[in-house]
Amino acid sequence: MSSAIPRRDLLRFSALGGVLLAGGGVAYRLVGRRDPVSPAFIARLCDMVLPATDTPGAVGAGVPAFLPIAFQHGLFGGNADTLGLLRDALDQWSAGGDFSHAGPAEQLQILSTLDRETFSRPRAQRSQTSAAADGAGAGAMDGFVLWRVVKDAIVSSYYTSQIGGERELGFQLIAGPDYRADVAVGEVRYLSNYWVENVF
Amino acid sequence: MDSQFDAIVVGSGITGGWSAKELTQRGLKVLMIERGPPIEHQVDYKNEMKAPWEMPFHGFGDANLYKREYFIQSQKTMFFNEYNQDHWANDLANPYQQAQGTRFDWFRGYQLGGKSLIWGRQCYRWSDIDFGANKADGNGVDWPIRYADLAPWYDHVENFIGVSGSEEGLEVLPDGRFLPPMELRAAEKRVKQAIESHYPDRRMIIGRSSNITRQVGDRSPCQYRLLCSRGCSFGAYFSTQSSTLPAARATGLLTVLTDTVVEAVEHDPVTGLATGVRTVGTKDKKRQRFTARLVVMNAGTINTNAILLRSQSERFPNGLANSSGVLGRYLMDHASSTAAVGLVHGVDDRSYFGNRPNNIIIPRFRNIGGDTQAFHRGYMFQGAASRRGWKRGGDQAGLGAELKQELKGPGEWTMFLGAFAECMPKADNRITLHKSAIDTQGLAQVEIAFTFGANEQAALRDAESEARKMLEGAGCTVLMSSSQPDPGGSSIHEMGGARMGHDPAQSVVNRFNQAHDVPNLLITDGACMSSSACQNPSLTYMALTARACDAAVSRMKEHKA
Repeated sequence: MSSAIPRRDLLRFSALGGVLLAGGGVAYRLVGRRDPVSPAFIARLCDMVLPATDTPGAVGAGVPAFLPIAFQHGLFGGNADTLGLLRDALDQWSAGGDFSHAGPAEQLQILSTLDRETFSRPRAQRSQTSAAADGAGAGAMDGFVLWRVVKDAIVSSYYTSQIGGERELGFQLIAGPDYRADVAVGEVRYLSNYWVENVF
Repeated sequence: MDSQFDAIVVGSGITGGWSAKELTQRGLKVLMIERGPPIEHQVDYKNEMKAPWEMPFHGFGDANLYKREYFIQSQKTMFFNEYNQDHWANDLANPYQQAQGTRFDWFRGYQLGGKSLIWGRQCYRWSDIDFGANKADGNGVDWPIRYADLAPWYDHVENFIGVSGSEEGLEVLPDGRFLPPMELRAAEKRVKQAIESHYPDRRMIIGRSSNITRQVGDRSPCQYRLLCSRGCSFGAYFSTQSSTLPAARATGLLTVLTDTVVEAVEHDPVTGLATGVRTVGTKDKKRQRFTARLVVMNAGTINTNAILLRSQSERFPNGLANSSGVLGRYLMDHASSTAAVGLVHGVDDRSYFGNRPNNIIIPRFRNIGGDTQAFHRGYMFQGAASRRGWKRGGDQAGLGAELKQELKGPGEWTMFLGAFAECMPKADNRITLHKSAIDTQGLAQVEIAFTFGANEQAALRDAESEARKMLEGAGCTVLMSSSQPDPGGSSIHEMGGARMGHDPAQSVVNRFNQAHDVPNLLITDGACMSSSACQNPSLTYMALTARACDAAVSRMKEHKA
């Protein structure tokens, strides 16, 4: 494994996360962080996931402001503690113990490693037909789910913002006569408003 | 407001709308009673045209609110969302009980139009295989009707609502009066070709849908938005609001009363007839009585049963029209599962534009023709192929400009096959009134006891196995498969409780949906079903309703009950 994070710390993150997410707010206090998550920390995460290119990125789309609200309301499988728990974990891997004050290169290296590790792990399968069919086990989490939750939230928030949904991708609420069931990829613009896709 | 009518229709959903239309168009003065608030076509579809960024939670909704107040309704993740949440019942405000050790997720639409606003719009005729199933294997009571009895009424319904679909000539799924079918997507065409070349007895076809592909009356063709459940101002799918309610109102004979629950149907022991209903207002708690010569129960399967169970008298101490004792029993819902999902290869150069509000189906192929299985009856598949969209960005490794660039275009093709297995009629699957729990109107809460049995489990195991084989035969990489049934109720095809049959000692309604015990009481929603088949039942409910209303008016004109 090529990593900026020692394997023992990744394993600790995994083990810790099980406690953290099962325990919610109590576990957060156990970690010992005291101050609220800073807007700058959230903005930095957003920028590393979806930066400005020829269109504004997640920061320009207002995702850092939406994310805490979304988690307060339980969206994307997160909760009010999600961002704080992720910050605490990232701090542990930063040379100076403070991810927010690490250099951009170190931040990116830490997050890239976490990202690779997270998505190399299988997640629970999901039912297409009823969330209830996923059963209790589907929600079982390890520490990497923290990043899975936050990354999904950043991506989802961006592509459902006007900048992400309409400027970065296409948005056409009424297909009408433009509708095509079967068309060459290059002949049509890819839309952000494909409401349904298969899950598994 | 008048309290005397020719007919009272309890409920305003798919069947309530049809009853109102058919009865008013035959000259009857009709009162339609709906427990929920009014929603008027077009003007009340408040989120219809909104983009995600115009919604407080980007269209995902307040998950904590859903956990507190929509804990059942929000399980339908493919259907329930922030745009349409007001078209589903609030679970907290409308409690019900589940019998110990059993589970039934009850999905409800408590508003004018009921679930017709949010239904899946799939329209399938039943065949003689279905109407003869109970008699053939001895489970349940024999239907006193066959396909020929209902065929002209299927025509009648399809001509009015508009159903798009393809003619296939299948015995198991009779053709109807179809508008042009919607086209398959590239990956669906590939899988279809493979399945039909490997299995001569199987067909993969586009769904038969009440999303119309041509103008029908003043209703515009489908605009391929897939915003149906928000309410469709184009009137491009069948709902009470778009179709039957305008027709009934045009007669000048319809009165609509919303925000009003029917407490009970009243009965005159001397004449043996229903005389009307007692109601309670959901907002003002006002109690009222309305009388009529005909009462039609269209409150939805479970509420229709509950109202009749609450309608107790000296003559019917266990509920109106329940001399048989079977009222509330034989509740059914299709056993559904995510049978298989696979990656489809070789069509990455193809895509689509717009949202098709329809799916593919593979009609039943088990226990028909020469096929014989260890389980009874069969299942059908419904599904779709789609390309993974931007959501995959939160489900895969990658960061930065590279990720953003990758998400500019569509991802891999996947094909989903969901199974709907026929549910056998079992006496223990039952709706009763809870002995102590009451609802906000002070009425006894419903208690539902429901489990799937060995037959449903066996059918879903076979469905998983066959789905895998069909996808693999089409060169797909199977990503997941399951035979685990979703909780009861998940298909939202609940039916039974007041089943149709020949024998008044074993059934509640006769072949014209009249209660055996109370001839001017019609039960024409899902409650009247004696078996479930495996195809979506709403078209059959509509045809039964139109047929029953026609027969009832004929009897009334002949001065019979």
